[in-house]
Amino acid sequence: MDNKIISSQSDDSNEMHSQQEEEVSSVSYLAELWRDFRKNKGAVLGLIILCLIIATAIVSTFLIDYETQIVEMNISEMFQKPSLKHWCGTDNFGRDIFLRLIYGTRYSLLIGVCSVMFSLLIGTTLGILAGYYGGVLEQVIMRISDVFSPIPSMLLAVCLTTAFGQGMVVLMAAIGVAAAPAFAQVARASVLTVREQEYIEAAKASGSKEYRIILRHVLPNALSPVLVQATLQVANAIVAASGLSFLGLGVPTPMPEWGAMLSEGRAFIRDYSYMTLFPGLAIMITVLAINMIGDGLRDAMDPKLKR
Amino acid sequence: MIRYVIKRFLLLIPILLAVSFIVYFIIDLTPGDAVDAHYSELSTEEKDEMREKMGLNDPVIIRYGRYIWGALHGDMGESTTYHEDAIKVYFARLPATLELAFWGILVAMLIAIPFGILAARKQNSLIDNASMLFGLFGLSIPNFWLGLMLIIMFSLNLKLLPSNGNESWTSIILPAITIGTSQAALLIRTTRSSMLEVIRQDYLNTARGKGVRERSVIYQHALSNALIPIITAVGSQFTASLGGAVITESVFAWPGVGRLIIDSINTRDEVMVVSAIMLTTMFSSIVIVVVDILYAFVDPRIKARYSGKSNAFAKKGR
Repeated sequence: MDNKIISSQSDDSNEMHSQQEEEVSSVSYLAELWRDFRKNKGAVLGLIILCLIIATAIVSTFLIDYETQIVEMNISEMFQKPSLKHWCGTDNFGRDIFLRLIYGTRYSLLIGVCSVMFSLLIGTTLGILAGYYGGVLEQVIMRISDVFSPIPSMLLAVCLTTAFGQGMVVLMAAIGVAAAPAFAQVARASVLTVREQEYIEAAKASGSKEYRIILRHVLPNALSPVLVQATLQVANAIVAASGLSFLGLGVPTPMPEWGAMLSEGRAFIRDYSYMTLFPGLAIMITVLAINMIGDGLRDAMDPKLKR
Repeated sequence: MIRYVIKRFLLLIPILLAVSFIVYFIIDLTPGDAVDAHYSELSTEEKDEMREKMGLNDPVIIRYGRYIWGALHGDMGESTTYHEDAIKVYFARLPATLELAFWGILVAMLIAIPFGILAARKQNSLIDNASMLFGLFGLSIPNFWLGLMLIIMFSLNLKLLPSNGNESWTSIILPAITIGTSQAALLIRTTRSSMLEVIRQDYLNTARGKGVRERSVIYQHALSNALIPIITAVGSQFTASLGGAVITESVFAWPGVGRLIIDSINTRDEVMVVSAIMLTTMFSSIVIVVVDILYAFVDPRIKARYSGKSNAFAKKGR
């Protein structure tokens, strides 16, 4: 962290020189982060699992045909128990649950990541502006966030999905908006501590432009807590999205989203409980992996634990 | 202190007004209205006439104004599905939600606080690792899936507990465990990390050195200083389950507010949805304020800040 600060300070005075130094120091910062992260066995395990899941999502695009293998009904094979042919059994339309789960990976990952992008974009931007400028702007932004935060986020997401209809984009936006106030608060708190640092004063004194100070000095140094929160929020968003789909407010059928599959399986829980077992396991493993990474990141970035 | 309490409650008013406007506005964007939902047999002209009569053609601001004026007089309108006062319908459902929230948080506290403290006292021990593993899994298991798995295990296979409804006292067990597990996960982490911050402080050694028994060192000296984050977590978990138990309530067919909201959304019962969300938000805001005030009782430093006596700390702490 210190290296970065020093290099940030120098880059205003000597552009050429600092370009090189910036590169070197940011590499060493990442390397240091990676070193701390690697020590955490759980986090590494999480990272490996997540990589496998992402690989599955990518590879499935080439191997599985949506029309014939995912949505097409096959009445002769319905309700088959898990077997070598159908690893996770088949559902009420005779569709292979394992293939549907594999194919569904993309939805959960996409919704998780995109909704967090949404919260980051709105929440973090506003939070940084509020923290950096203070005054009236801060008051306005934080009051807006105060208005949104007492609405339970699940309810807010439910409202938004009903208002704007079903679909992936709405789902992402709804979850993203519902989580944005929390991001604003974390970003603001983080910026408040950075704002008082001497290197910011130095940058101001040397005549740096405001946007440059924010982008080059405030943002990188205030980012750690936001990044940790973003990682953990990806996990929350995946759970929230599958929950909304479970309620019938998420992605439209017959898309094999995990929550929607759970909801379909629920009707047959008495006789075909495997239909609810596997989609839930898929959600849990993905979320578990991301949470492990998030925890590892937090520990690696926490300066208190460094020494 | 009283001034602080009053101030906090007065600040709630503008927030609640803004919340109500946002919720009203969002629900207003929902395609279709009560006329479409309940008088679908009418012709287009008759529907328009109906809308005119019900005032649905006015701009959203005017309708909101009318709504909030009514709400301030204790009249949030009539639910179009239940044909009853929306507030009445809401309060008929509230006890079930409160019951679930109460038992859920109780389960969570009973698991999390003792184990969180134990984990912090014996850092990196078996029990610490087990607690952290529980925390990790508890956070990662989707609530509704856990509920379904519990139903499969205890209702369908073992036939021990009812899977839905609210008929006997055993009905609460599975929903409470479902909600309690994820809450316990968060709480156990909060308790542990909060205790860890305190447990290494010198004053605990001082207390020990003075001959205070270990139990009272932990439970009186350490715990009381670690309590604020724990109270915050309990408060926010409780608040979340007031409105956020939507999914759990629907898994267990629990007749609470969450299911009321989902059912009302499905029947396009705008009045009911807005009123239920408004009232839920109001209650959760009140819980948040109450929790904030609780801090002041737990933490004499905060109390001092608002007691009017201007000591050095009060000035420093804004």
